[in-house]
Formats: sequence, structure tokens, C-alpha cells
Amino acid sequence: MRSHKWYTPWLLVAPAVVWVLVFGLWPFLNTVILSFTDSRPLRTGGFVGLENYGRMLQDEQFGYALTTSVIYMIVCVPLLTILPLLLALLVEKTIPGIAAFRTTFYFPVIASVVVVALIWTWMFDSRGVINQTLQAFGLLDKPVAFLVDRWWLLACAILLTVWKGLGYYMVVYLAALGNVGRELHEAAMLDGAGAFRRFLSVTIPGVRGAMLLISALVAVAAMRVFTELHVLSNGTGGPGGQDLSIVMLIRQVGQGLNGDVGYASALSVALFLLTVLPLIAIAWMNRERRTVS
Amino acid sequence: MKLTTRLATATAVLAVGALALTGCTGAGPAAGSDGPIDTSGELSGTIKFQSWSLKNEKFSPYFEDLIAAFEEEHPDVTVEWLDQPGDGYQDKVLSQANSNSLPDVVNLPPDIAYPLVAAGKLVDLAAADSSLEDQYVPGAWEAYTYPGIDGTYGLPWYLGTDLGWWNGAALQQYGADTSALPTTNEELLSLAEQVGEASGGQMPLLSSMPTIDLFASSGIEVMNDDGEFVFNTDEAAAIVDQFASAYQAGALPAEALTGDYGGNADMFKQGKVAYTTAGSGFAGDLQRDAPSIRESVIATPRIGDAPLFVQGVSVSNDSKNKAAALAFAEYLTNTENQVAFAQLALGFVPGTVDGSADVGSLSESVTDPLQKEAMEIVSESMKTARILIPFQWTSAMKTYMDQQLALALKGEVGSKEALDKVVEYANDNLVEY
Repeated sequence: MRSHKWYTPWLLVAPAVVWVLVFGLWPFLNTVILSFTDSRPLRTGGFVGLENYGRMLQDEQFGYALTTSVIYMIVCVPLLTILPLLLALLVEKTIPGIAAFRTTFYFPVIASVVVVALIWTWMFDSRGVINQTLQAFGLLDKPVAFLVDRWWLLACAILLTVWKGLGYYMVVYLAALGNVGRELHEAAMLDGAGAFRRFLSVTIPGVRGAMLLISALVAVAAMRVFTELHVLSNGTGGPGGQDLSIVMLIRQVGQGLNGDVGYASALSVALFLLTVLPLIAIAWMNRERRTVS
Repeated sequence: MKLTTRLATATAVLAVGALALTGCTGAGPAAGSDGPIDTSGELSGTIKFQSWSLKNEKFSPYFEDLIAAFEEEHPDVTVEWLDQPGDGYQDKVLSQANSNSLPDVVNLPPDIAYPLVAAGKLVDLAAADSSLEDQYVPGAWEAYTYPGIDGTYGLPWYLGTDLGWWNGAALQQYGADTSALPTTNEELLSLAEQVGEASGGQMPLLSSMPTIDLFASSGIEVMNDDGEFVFNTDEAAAIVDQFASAYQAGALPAEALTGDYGGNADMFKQGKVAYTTAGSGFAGDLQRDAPSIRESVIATPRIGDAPLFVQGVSVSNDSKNKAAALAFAEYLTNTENQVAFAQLALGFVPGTVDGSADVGSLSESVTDPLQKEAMEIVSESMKTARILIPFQWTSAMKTYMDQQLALALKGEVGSKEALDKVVEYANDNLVEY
């Protein structure tokens, strides 16, 4: 029997290890290190201890960004977990032309989020089609400033995210629904369960894994939201920066030749921790399920 | 024993890797070049010249001819011309500086040059050639000097200012007297309110919020001698209050609060706003894009102090061929070539003393009356134009100011309170190298 050298496995994993070190671990460690400095793009900074983290706690704009990101997550997670499931149940039936419906629901996923957000900007503009239509029907006396009001702007962005994400998660659910045995539904029907009861007792347990996965993906994406809010607010985060997300704040603080790399890094570390929390929660829920079963 | 060897090997590999990786954390300050550079001898080698959004049908032939002429004068020198797009120029320059690949000769305005100077990335041109200072317009030359740093780091290339453009037909439609257009910001805001109310918000005069250069042009001290921002004055608050009043009257579109109508000149060409500021070349833009609006357009000197826009070229300290690079930078910005450039880039003025001495002559060959009038206004304004935005004013500060003033315009915070926050933020975030 031919044996290999002791280092052969190391050689085989070396490319992947180097890749992870260079593009994953090192940038992460470097960000953590930079968060304790007052570095600028063209200047190596000095160690400032926890100053950047202390500043974060007193930064009004970080408060806004945290609020925006958390609200985004709290609203988007249930909407993008439940609505695509309902949509998938609707288009799951094999009736003539259903493929066209499925494709239609998937269209927003294909479109560039920047392009879609720009179109939404024009729609929700004070002279845009929505305001003009509402005024034409006499429902408004004067235009609603959708894009310069903190809560309207946030609502528009969330609506855009949900509309754009529905098709993608619908496809995930369609795959999961295919694994829910028809015999379970038939057994439940024989026991007298109605459609809603079967949805709760058969369908949801059958797709629970997909639901947890989607919840995790949506939670992470919502916490890191950028494009929708950036385009709709033209990069400003709205009046007062009240609609800044954490990623937008990182960009605002760290960009350019004079960017505050140290503080931006501290914000990035905070974002990382905030993103990991929902993941841990969802992983814990998944573990509970396995333990129970 | 074998396990120990493996551990030692793995540790060594990781340590070497980590050390190698720490080399990727950005370039440290380069050694400063503070001595004379002799450009009189035989020059040779290849240099890179980077312009900023100038490679197009209009300017490419000019640069190609200029480079060919320089190469003919210096047969052993080859000039490679790079051009970067208008957007993201700062980020591009930053990545070049970080990777020690800044082009030998690079187009940099004074504010973008500053962090590079502080990082030792640019050649001190005053030390490189002491005869240069007398050749360039003093105000523009001084724009490349920075407090606490010896030397001058850019050769003024072309200078500009802007003027006011009014949509005469739109103003008359809403009852404004076009024979007595505003000459102060107070009058402008008053007229904006009047036209905004008369048009029901359909024809705003303004489409952007107050900016730091507006305060400066209104005679408000933006920065004191100690290098601190101090524009949170009652006068500045009064301007913001007037803007708030104008906003409530419909004189600004709602989306002006997010800077979405920052492209005032574009809105003007679309007939959506009745006033904008732009350079004298705007006459040509109107001819091409909005001839019907152009028929009634009125050009006036800029309200308040005219801004001085400075573009220049710098020589990289990382250049392997500083002599040829400096020679090309001097050639590019000599009077003859600057005048030729200004004849193409209508409305701009050469940055050399000789070239700017007779700016009136630049408009002699222009036949279009509106263009000629605009160029004459620019020529006159250039006599008093000054740099209104301090180079310490960063994009993050501008964004913060837009955010706070948007709240003030909506009436959610007081104007003085908003300005106090902006000034505090700006001073807290001053970059000191």
C-alpha cells in the first residue's frame, strides 16, 4: 500500500487556508486592530484604547443607525419569512400557465437593486407618479414628502426590500414544500383537519428548516442594509441622518482621503457582533428543535 | 516529536504569512523630496500623466498634440496619458497612493492634494525649482501651501469661477422683474419665496440647501486663524432661517433636503428651476441641451464673493523619474499651453501670471453673444474670486451639514442649534497630520 508524505494533506488544504487567511481572517483581525487606533487612509494611527467604542455610545448618528437597522430586521424577518411561504403555496399548484406566474414573481430578484431603487425614487418623489396619482384622485391636497420624512423613507425602503425578496425566498419554499409528504396532508384530512389546521400542523413543521434558514438570511441582510436606503435618500440617510443604516454610517465616516478609519472599523466590529447575535439565536432555536425531535 | 515538528512548521508558516500580510496594511509615509530637481539636462524614461475626466472628443486631440510636442522636445521621454472618470476620483487616488502607484504627474485640486502632501506623497515644487513661484498666479500658488507644512505641492493649471443664470421667461411668468435681479443672497431668497408661492411650488428658484461656500461668499468667517470652524454665527443662522422660510413656501423641492436636486444646472436645463450657478461654458450646454430656455436666459455675476476653483498638477514622490515628471508638469502648465487649453475649456482662466494677464483676449474669437458676455463676466469676477471652501472641509463634514440643515429647513430644529452641531462635528473631526 502506498502511503503519502505527512505534509500532503497540508498541501491539499493550503490554497483554501491561504484564501481564508488572506481574504477572511486577516481583514477581520486588521479591522479589530484598527478599531483601537485613530488611523486615517494615508496615516498609520496610534493606539487609542476604547476611545472609538466610547465615542460610538455617545454618537447620536450611531443611535439612529442602530434603530434603523434593528427596525429593518424586526419588520423584514417576519414579512420575508411568512409572505414568500404564502406565495409559494399559491403558485405550488400545477395548473396551466403557473410557470408564468412563478417567473413574474421572480422578476424583481433579477433586476438590479440600484436600478429598482432609482425607479422607486422617481415614483415616491414629491412630483412622482404616486403623489400625482393621489392628487389627481383628490386624495391629497399637497404632495407627501415620502423621501424626506424619517418614517416614510424607512417604510419605502422596507417595502422595496420585501417586494424584491419575495420571489427569491418563494423559490426556496417551493423546494422545501416539495419535501412535505402528500400522505401527511391526506392523513390530517382524514383526521378532520381543515386547510388552516393543516397549514399550521403539517406545512409549517415541514418547512421549518427553510423558515429558519430564511429568517437567518433576512436578519443578516436587514442588519447590513445599505443600497435601498442609500439610493432612496440619495446617500444622505435622510434629514438629520435619521435613516442611516449602520453600513451607511460606516461609509460616511470612513470614506475618502480623510476617512476616519479607526472609528469606521469600530463601527464594523459592532455591526459584526450585532449580525452574529440573531444568527446565534436562530442556531439555538434550531438546536432546540433537534433536541426535542 | 513528530507532532512537535508539525506544530513548529505550521506555526512558522503562519508567522511568516502573518508578517507578510502585515505588509499589506497600506503604504507608510514616503521620504520627502525637498531638494532641487534639475530638468535642464538630457531627460529620459517613461512617465505617467493622469488627468481627471478630460479624455473625450473635445480635449483628447489637445493632449495628444501636447504630449507629442513634449516627446519631440525630449526624444528619450515617453509620456503615458491616463484619464480617470469624474466619479470616485478621490478613492482612485487613495488606492494609487496606498499601493505606491501614484502616476508621476497627477491632476489634483488643493483639497485632494492635502492628505497626500501630509503623507509625504508629493514633491515640494517650490524646493524643486525656486523659479516657479513667480510664474503662477499668487492666489492659486498659495492654494497648494498648507499650514504647518513647508513647501508648495501643485502647479496651478486652470482656474475658474461661476456666474448666475436665470430663466427669464419663467421669472416673468410668475411676476418677477428680470430687469432688477437679486444681487444679494437675501434678495435671492426673497425672490425665491415670491416665485415659489406664485407658482405653487412648480417653479423653484433654488434646488439645494445652504452650503459652506454660501456662508463664505456672504462674508461670514468660516474658519478662524487657529484653524477652527466658526461659521455658527447669527448671520449664518439668519441665512438658514431664510432658506427654511423659502422651503415652507415651496421655493425648494422637498427632495432638495436629501441633495437629490444637487444637480441644479441639470434641473435648470430641464426647466424645473429658474436659477442656477454654473461656469461660462454653460452657455454652450444650453445651446446643445435646452435651446428654448436659452432664448430668455440671463447671465449675471455670482451673488456674493465669487468662488475660485483651482485645478493643478503635482509630481509624485514615488516617481522614479522626477526630472522628466517635473519637466512635463511645467510644460503642461506653461502659459502657451494653458492659454491653448483655456481657449478650449471656455470660461476657465490660465493659472500663470502671463496667461491670466489678458483673460479678455480669450473671448475675442467667440462669436456667440451669450457666451461672450458670460466669459466677460467671468473675467471680471476672477479679479476678486477667492477660495471659499477650506481644504480641511471633508466630504463627511459636508454630509453631516446637509443632514442637520435638512432638519432645520423642515423646522424640526432651530437653525442656530443645527449650525452649532455642524461646527462641533467639524472641529471634532478635523484631520491633523
